[in-house]
Amino acid sequence: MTPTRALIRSLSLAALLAGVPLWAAGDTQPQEGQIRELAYGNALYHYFQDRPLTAITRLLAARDRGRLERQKGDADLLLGNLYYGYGLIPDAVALFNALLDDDSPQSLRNRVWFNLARVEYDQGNYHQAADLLQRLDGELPAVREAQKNYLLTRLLLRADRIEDATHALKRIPTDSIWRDYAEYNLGITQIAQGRADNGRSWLLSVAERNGATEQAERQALGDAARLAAGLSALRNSLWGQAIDDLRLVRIDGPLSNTALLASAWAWHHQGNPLQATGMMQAIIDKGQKDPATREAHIALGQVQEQSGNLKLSAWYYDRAAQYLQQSLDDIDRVITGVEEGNLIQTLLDQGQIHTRGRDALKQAPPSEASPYLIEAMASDEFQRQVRNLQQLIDIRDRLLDWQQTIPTFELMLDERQRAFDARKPRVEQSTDLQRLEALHQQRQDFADEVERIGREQDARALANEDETDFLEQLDEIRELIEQLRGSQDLGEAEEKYRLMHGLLLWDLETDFPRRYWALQRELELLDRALNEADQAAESLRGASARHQLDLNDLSERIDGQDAVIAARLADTQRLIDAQQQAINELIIEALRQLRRHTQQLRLSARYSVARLYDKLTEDQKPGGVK
Amino acid sequence: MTSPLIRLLFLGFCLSLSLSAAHAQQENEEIGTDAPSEQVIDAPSEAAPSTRLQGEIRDLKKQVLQLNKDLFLLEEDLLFPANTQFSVFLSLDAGQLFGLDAVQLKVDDKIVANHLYTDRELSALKRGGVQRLFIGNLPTGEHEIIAIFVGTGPQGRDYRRAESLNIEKGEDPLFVELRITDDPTKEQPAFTSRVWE
Repeated sequence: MTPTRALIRSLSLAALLAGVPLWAAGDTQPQEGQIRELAYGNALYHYFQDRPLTAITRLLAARDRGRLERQKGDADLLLGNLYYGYGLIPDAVALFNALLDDDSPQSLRNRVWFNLARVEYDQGNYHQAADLLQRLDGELPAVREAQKNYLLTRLLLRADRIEDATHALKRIPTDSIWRDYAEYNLGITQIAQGRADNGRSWLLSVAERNGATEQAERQALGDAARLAAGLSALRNSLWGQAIDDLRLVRIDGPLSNTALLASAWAWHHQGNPLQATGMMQAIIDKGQKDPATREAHIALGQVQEQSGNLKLSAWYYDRAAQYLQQSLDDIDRVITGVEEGNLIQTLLDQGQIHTRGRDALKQAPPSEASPYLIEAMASDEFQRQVRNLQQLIDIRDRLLDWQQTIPTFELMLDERQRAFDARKPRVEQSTDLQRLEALHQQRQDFADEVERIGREQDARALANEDETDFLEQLDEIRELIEQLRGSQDLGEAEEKYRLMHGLLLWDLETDFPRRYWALQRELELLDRALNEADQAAESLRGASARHQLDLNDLSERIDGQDAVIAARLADTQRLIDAQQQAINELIIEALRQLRRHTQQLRLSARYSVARLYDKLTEDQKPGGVK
Repeated sequence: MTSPLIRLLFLGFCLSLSLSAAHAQQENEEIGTDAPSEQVIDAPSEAAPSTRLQGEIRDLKKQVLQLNKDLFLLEEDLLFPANTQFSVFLSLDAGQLFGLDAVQLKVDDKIVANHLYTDRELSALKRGGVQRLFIGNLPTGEHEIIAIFVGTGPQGRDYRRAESLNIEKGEDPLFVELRITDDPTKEQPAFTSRVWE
């Protein structure tokens, strides 16, 4: 009798059927404290959406731009976590260690110790993990404190320190999912150690706490806890207890068939074959292709045989053999499909991997191959390999995007260069040195004249237009007087000339200081204007040169990128092919194992049919039992 | 610490081990030996035995991360030069009194961004993530930003609210954060903004 073998398989299956996204982030806890750098918050935004490539890129770019200075520790811790989830473990550890300098605040150091402990634990270095946890000084923020105690519980369970583990577990708040996992682990460990009652009480505690939850993860955990408790009771021949524990496993949950089959066996052992066969038939009637259904086919024959219904048993065994043959044919087709390279399409159909627009993806209905593939996909190794493939596909998609973008960059830059070249003559004209020097010479001539006027106190030089006209007329009058001096009496005219000339000069000389000050002021304004012109020309020349340098820099940064992208794309495609091949091999091996197991079941069914027919024939012979 | 999937895998794995132990005991009882005690109940780790393929993938990832960063910065420098660069970010604190559905952003009365939120994005915002809602170019001088928030307000009613902000764009990149918080005293959502230095 092999009911548990089937159950084991369906339990692994359950993990995938629970409908949790494949590529969840490694640490999806809320941000602690305030966001002090937008770039850090933006990286978190992508991190929480399981976009590690984008999150890492944003962090690295922000670091280059100096936009993480106010939250450097948090940013590096996040980057370390991202590296870790992205499979760059040495880089993650290096970043974590770099955060442990003396200047780091204790709260940050504690979080670093915790992260390093996780890394060590995952790598199987349990002593180091425990040592790192011991270095924590004070409590972590609430959510991480719960995680820390969960990790501690796991370490203590591993060291068989059940009491200490229980103590650590009790430090996790009961509303935390980590408490549920910790209790679940403790329950399982105690059952495995033969302390079934203690283990059961922990498992039922988890199940009862999550009895009315609507959270899928907690519902699944509750089902798993009930199933584990029920199977433990079944193993210990506590049939009634097994039925009680299994009864509340959700009928529409992924563990339903397994629980039904286990319950059916409990009913059978309790002497109620009708109930047992009814439940087994209920599993079969669902028409599913999971391990529990395969086992149920065989189990029906076994129960009927043990109940003495040999003909009916033979009929069930025969039906089981046919069903299993059908399963074998299905598995063969799936293997052929995988060998022909159809696996990736199936993974896409099942939403196991995505290409672009992950949010918009609508999961396709499962294919005929799905039940067998899902079983084969339950291993951790498969999940890791698929994650690698997903990351490679993401990388390829990103590189393809860049490949399409680079020509646009080149075009934009080209247009900018052309626009700049078109503006260049105007810029050069505005900044023409000869023109500026001529202006400076003119200014110097003007300054010399001002200086002379001042030195010679040349009031006439500051006469306005009317005054100049007047002076010129007076000069002409004086010349005329000189010419007529011997022939006429010019005394009166001379007197008038002298008076008017004197008055005019007096006016000019009296007003000289004011006029000279105004002249100096004009010189100052001219100097200022010339200085501004110099600066503007310099600035324009500088901006122009800088702009050209920027354009050159951008051009250099764009040049050759298409070749680099093409090379990385080729590398990526090669690795995608290799990764797909590795996944195919892994899946085919798992399918072959499944095939061998199914073949054994079918042989067992066929043998049972033959054995029962022999027995029935023997019984029908004269003298045999009828 | 670990993803929901990993935790569920962990769950399946633990159960498998539990059942392995049960099964082993059954089988060993049949052949009369002691059952081995299984205690390893770990979540699948991020760390995996390193193969040549995995090593090559790691090398490629590192190269691509560097390339991706360089191209990201190049794109920013080319499309949004520092002297005109202008970004608007959105963050969400609490969010009990307002369920965000969409945001429309106007700059100087011109619509520059419309965003309809997915559950995934909202979840990321609620966990503390900050969304870059818009990045563009803006000349130096004064500008007006108007953000129109659409969603579900208190008592599940449709809620629409516009917030405006006057900004002064200088020669350096300008970063504006729009923040949605709860105002427990008024039992209403509050919309604030901040210009980051």
